[in-house]
Amino acid sequence: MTSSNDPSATSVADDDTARELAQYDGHTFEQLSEYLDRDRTPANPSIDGSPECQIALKGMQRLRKAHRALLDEDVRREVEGGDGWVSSILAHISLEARAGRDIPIEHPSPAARLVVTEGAVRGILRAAGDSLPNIIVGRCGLDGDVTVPGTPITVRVDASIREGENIPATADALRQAVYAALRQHTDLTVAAVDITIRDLYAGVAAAAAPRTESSTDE
Amino acid sequence: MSDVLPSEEQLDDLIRAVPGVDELYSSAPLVAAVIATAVDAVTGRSPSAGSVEIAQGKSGLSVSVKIGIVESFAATDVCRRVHDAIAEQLDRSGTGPVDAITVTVARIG
Amino acid sequence: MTTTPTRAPLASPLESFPDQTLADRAADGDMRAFEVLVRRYGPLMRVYASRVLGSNDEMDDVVQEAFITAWQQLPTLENGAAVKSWLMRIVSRKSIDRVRARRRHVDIDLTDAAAPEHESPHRLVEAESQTEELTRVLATLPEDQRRCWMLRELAECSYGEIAEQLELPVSTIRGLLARARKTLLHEMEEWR
Repeated sequence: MTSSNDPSATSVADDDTARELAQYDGHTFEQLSEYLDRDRTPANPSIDGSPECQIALKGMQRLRKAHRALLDEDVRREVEGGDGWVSSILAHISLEARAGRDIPIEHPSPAARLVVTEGAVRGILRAAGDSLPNIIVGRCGLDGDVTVPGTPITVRVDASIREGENIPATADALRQAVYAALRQHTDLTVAAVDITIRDLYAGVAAAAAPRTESSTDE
Repeated sequence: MSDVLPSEEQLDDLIRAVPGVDELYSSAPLVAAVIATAVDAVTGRSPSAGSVEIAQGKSGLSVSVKIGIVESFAATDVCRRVHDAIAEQLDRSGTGPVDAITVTVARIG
Repeated sequence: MTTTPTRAPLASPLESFPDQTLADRAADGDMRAFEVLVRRYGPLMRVYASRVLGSNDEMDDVVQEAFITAWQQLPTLENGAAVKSWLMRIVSRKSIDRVRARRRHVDIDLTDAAAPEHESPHRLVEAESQTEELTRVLATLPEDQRRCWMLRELAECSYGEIAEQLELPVSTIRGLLARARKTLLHEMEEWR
C-alpha cells in the first residue's frame, strides 16, 4: 500500500465533514447534535430553515424518544424486581453522621452525663411540623451554644406553606408546636423561634413549585 | 471487684424495660444505626449486641448507652429514668464507685 | 388565590414531598426522607449502573456505595432541588471507577462484556423488539461513546459535567455524542 491509498484518519474525518456540510446545508452532524442538546437556543435560522437539518434533528429526537421508552421499560422492570436492595442500603446509613452537638439534660447526680443529640432535636422539630396541616418543615437548626445549660438558643426552621393558607397564622401554629416539643423533650432555654417560609406549594405537595415568596416571620 | 460487674445483657433488659425506650443502639462504633426492625433481620445483627458499654477505669466504673425513644414520652424524663435504673442496678450489685453513667438520646419518635 | 382541594390521603406524606424538601430533611438527618429518595431514584440508578457496568453483578455494590456517599455528602449539596442529577453523577462516578478498577485487574475489552441482558430469542410485539434492538445497538457502541450517551441521555448531565467525569475536553464530548447519535440513528434506519 502506498501512502496515497492509505489516507490518514484526519483526511477521512475531513471527507466526512465535507460530506456532512454538503448534506446539512453547511452544518455538521456534530453541530446539529449540540444544537439539540442546547434545546435549540439561541435559535439558528439557518438550521431551523433547512429541511435536511430538520430531518436529522427529528431523527435524533426519535432516537431520544426510543431511548426514553427503553429506559422507562428498564426502570419498570427494576421496580417490579422488588426492593430488597433498599433495606441493605439503609442498614449502611448511620445516624451518627448527623448527631451534631450533645445537648445536656440536667440531673442531680455528679456522675450523670445525660444528653440528647442535636440530630434528635432536629427530628422533633420536623415532627412538630408534620403534626400540623398545610405546612412542611425543611431544614432546621439551633443557633447558640447548646452544650452549656441555660444559654439562650434561637431555633431556625425553614418551611413551605400550602398555597392559599394564612401565612402568619400557619407559621404561628408551627412556632407553638416547636416551643411545646422543645419544652417536652429538652432543657433548652429557647429565646426565639425564627420561621422562614421558603415557598408555597400548590395542592399536593409533590406539585410544589419553587417560588420565592419568602417572608421571615419576626 | 470485676466479678460483681453487672452483665451487659442484664443492663440491656433493664434499659429496654424503661417506659418510652423503643431502641437501644450499639454503643460500640456504629457501623449502622438501624431505623427499622426489618433492617435488623437483613443485617442479621442481634439488636442487643454491644448495646451497653461498660468500662472499669481508675476512678470507677463507667457505663454508656445510646437510646431511641417514643415521641409521646418526654426525652428528658426517659433519659433520667434510664440513668436512674442503671444507677440503682449498679448500687444493688455493689460495684463500687461509679465514675460516669452516660445516656445519649439519639432519636425521638 | 384559588381554593385548594383537600389533600389526597397518602401512605406516607413524605412520599409526596418535592426533592428539595426531601434533600433538605435528609441533610439534617431525616432517614425517612432519605429512604423516599432511595426509592424514588434508586431504580433509575440501578438501571444506569447495570448499563455502564455491562452486568448486574456489581450493580448492588455500586448503587449502595453511591447512596452511602450521598448520605455523607448531602449536607454539602447546595440546591436540594437538583438532588436527582447529583445522585446520577455520584452513581456514574462510582460505576466508572469500578470499570477502571476492573480494567486494571483484567485487561479485557469491556465492550464485549456489555452484552444486553434480557435478549429474548424470539421477537415479541413490535414495540418490545424495538427497545430490545436499541439495547443491542447501544451495547455495540464503543465504550467511550456509550458512556457519553448514558451520561447525557440517562443522567441528563451537561457537556461540562460529562467532560469532568470522563476527564476529557468538552470538544471531545461533543464529538463522541455526535458519533454515538450517528451510529444509533444509522442502526435505527436499518430496522425501520
